[in-house]
Amino acid sequence: MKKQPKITFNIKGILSFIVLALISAVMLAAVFIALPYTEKLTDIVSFNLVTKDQDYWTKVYTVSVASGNKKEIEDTKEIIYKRLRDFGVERVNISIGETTSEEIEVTSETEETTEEGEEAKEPEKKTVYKTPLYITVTTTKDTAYIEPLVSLQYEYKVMTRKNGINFDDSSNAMAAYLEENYNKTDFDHTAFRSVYITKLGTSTGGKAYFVIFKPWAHKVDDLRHFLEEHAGDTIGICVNGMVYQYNVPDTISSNVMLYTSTYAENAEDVKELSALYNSGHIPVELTLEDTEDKDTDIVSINYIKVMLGFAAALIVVYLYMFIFKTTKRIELVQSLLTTGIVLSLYISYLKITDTPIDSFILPIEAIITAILVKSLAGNRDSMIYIATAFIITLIFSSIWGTATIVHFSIQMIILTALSCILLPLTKWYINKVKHL
Amino acid sequence: MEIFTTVWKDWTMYQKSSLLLMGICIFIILISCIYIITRNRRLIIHAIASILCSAIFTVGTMVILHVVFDERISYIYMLIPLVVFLVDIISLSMNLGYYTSTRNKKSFSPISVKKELLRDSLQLSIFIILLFSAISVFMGGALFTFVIAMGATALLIPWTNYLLLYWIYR
Repeated sequence: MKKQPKITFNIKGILSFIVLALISAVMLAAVFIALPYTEKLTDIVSFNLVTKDQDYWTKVYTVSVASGNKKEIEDTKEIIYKRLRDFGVERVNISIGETTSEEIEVTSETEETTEEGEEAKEPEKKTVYKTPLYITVTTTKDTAYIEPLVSLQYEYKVMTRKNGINFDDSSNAMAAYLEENYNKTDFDHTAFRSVYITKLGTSTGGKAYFVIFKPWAHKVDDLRHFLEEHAGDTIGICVNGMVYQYNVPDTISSNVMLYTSTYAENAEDVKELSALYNSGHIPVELTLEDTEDKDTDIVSINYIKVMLGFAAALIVVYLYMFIFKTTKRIELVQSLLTTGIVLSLYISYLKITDTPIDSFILPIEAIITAILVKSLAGNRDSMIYIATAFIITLIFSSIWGTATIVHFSIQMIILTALSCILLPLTKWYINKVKHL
Repeated sequence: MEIFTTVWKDWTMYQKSSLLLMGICIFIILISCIYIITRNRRLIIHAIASILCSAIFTVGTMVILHVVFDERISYIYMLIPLVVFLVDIISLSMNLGYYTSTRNKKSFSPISVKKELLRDSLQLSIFIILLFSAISVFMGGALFTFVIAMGATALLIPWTNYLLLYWIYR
């Protein structure tokens, strides 16, 4: 009897084949999703490239600063800009108008009685300065968040209850919230190094956002003594003219801080509050005089046509290099495949997650990515230098750049990382497919 | 110059200082890295001159667009300095990589570095010309000018690097 031949399974080969099939499926899916108009082919999963172009609005806020002092006006301008930037407003322009002054009569609190024959004293006059700030905001953010950022002073200070006021009077429920019913203390914005807004557990078992005030190191002892003096009492934290109650615990922990409740319900509320608290202290009163809607100056493109044009140009470039043999064939295939996959994965991610994007930035990112991938593929000895220099530059520009630069930099960091990861993967993929 | 006075007047101190800090930090870190890697004075001078030239070309482009073509320099033009600098980084890094990988070899010479940079500059130029032209075809008005200006400025960079290297190693 002839012996049956042994059936051997090349496990490694089978696994390689399965992995290759899976990778090919992912690549094809990414390309399919990234292509324009493919979202119209299926209702099973929603994916569509969302552009921010139609969401932009522009308003000019005229805010009056109660000061003629150049430094105070400049400080106010700086803080308003920082608030808007920290909140994520895309474009801000602030210009300072002409300062106007007005003399007003200051009436004293005590009545002055004049004896017969005495001349009545002239009432004191005070010069009041007003300087308008014209704040032009162009953004996709909700309009309701912007007005507080540009018009509120948002001063905060610790206060103690005045004697003789009935805070439990049910007929005067507002008594506990009015600043005039409290005495000032030495603890205002200068005593606290930072303000955090975070979710904490409530007494009812749920969770809510609280504002936590952390003092400077040199103020910790003073604050501890103050809280120990008022242990068990209710003090107030006055924020923008409204007082929030704070019940001082009987024993003060080593981690000295104050906290209050807040109206924040979602991440945008928290971001707005954080910008209001942590962008700096506006030294003067602000009054919102006027708001005016303006036409939005936003550039938008037909990104479908542009991306098709880009794809065609990319193929022409690689054909040129192939025909004129400027680069090795395997390197051309590797870099073209990597560019295609990187951009497809990125656009697929944007489409699936409905992440809004400025349409005019996309083609520029695509060009830079194509150049980057070709440079990484064609210069192995320079790969680490190109990638490192790119990441360093983009990280710094994402931290310190203006709005457009920040968005571009963050997106380019993702594309650079994808390029660096996928380049060796595509080389492995091509080698494996060749040997199938 | 109206562009600069408008920027100086309208920008906040925060904007001016953060952009300045960004530029200085990137410049110092990149030059320091080149010094640590190469310890070659000529390459460091080449890198410094290249970065300064990219800044001058960017500013020059915007001034020419505003003064000669009466083009309004809007917010999108903020991208030009960054994109031009990224192209500059690619060009400098390719040169740096070639230098570090071949400096200890017998075949290494300034001529080989120049030849390699010429080859890389040619490839970069083809990419820049074709890709920027392709997308500019589908854009109109201010966007068309913006893309052409960005592409033209980026195109100058690899050739400036080549000329600078040629001059440094003459």
